[in-house]
Amino acid sequence: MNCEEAREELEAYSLGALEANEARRVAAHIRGCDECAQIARAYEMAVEHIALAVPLFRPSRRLKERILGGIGAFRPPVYAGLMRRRIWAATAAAVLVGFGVAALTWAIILSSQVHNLRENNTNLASELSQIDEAQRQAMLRSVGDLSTTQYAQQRSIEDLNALLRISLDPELIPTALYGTQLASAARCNYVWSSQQSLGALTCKDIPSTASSLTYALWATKGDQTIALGDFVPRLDGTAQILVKFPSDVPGPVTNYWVTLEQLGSSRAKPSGQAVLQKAPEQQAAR
Amino acid sequence: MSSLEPTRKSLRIRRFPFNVDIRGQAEEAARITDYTAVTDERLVVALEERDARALEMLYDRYGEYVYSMCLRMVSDVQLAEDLTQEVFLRLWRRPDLYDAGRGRFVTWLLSVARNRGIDERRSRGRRFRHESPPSLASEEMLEAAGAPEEKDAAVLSEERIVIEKALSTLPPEQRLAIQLAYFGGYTQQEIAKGLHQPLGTVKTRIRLGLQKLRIVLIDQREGGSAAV
Repeated sequence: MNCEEAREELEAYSLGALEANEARRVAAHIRGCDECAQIARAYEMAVEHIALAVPLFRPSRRLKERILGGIGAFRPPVYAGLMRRRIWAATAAAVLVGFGVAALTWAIILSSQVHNLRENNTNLASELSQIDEAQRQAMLRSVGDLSTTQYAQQRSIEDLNALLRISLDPELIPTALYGTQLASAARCNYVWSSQQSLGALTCKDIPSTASSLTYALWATKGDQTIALGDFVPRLDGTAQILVKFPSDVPGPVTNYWVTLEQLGSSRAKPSGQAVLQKAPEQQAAR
Repeated sequence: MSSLEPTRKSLRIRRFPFNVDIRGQAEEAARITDYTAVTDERLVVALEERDARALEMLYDRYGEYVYSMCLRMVSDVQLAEDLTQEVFLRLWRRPDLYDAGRGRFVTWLLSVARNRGIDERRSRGRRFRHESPPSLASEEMLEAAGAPEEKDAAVLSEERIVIEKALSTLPPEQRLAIQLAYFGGYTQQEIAKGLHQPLGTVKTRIRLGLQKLRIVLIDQREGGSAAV
């Protein structure tokens, strides 16, 4: 190949557009021809610029990792995996710590609330026990009052029955008691039913007494003085008492009188002055 | 150790997203404090010193060009990425193949990519070329494969403008013949066959087109004062 033939192919040679055998022939020529080699070099420089005009497309981001991962000292999967693991571990640790702190805080709050609830419960239990005790006391008082009332009612009924039985006795023995100087206006009637072995004393205009004093009815049977019972006048000055003689005392009843006694003192014998007593002729008649 | 030399600790802290153990690998490379400011040739020297950061920097500069060249050659995204990886790994293994006295690094790197693309096309047999003969339609299809990414203000932007302007001055048939030869890796005979044109016509288009391109480039470089 001479220069003329070679120069017709130099452009295509520089562009790489020759068939392999033609390219070898041109290459062989320019190795021995500086002038053609210089021209070829000039075309090659122009061709090199064409490369810079290549339309640009962006490769994937992984390509860079692949390339740098292929140079040996680089371990992208390990690095990436390690970083991912570290990030995950840090995230998990942060989440766990967060949960721990939240749980601890919640436990403290719950503990405080439980403590408060227990304290309230204790107070409520104490208040409830006090209320229960008050209610119990109130109930007991109510029961006591009820019992007292029932007892009084029962006593009243019994007294009425006893009075009815006494009044039906055709052989009643009446005795009138008159007030002494201590209660000159006072009058009492005492009736005795030997059939029923019961007596009844009814009084009027009986003076009221001090709270530490009470009236006591006495009788003389045989040679003994017997306390038949205590009574306190009502607000209207009346009083009433049923009398049951003890059956183990022999002898007839010879006298009745009423004295003023200390409340709770012994009734073995009268200690106070006579307030009511039989009329002298009545005592004599007996 | 000079005062300008960063410590190993500082090297590991700097923006380097991969776990490359560079301790003791590149005492010389450690002197590069700003990889973005050094020349391609200096980075290639650093490659000889096994500086992975230099390779990363060269990829950041020209990876898109190499990939685009490969994609242009093989018209397959995955294959183009594989070829791009091969080109840069070859650069990593044999940076000494680049001779700074014979031209710029980027044109050498792109010629490597182009040659690798041509080899790939030829190694995959003529079936590829028979099924896809060069034609104006194939060029248009390649252009329509995806709009080129908007290139940021990169190092080659001005040169791209110059060469694009020079190519635009060529008649369409001459430009197509040159593009098919360069980016397609086709020979003149294959182009003639694909375009259903006589071989002589294709040869003439290539010759005239390349001559004009050379003149335009020289004119633009020298302000229009250069001769043929």
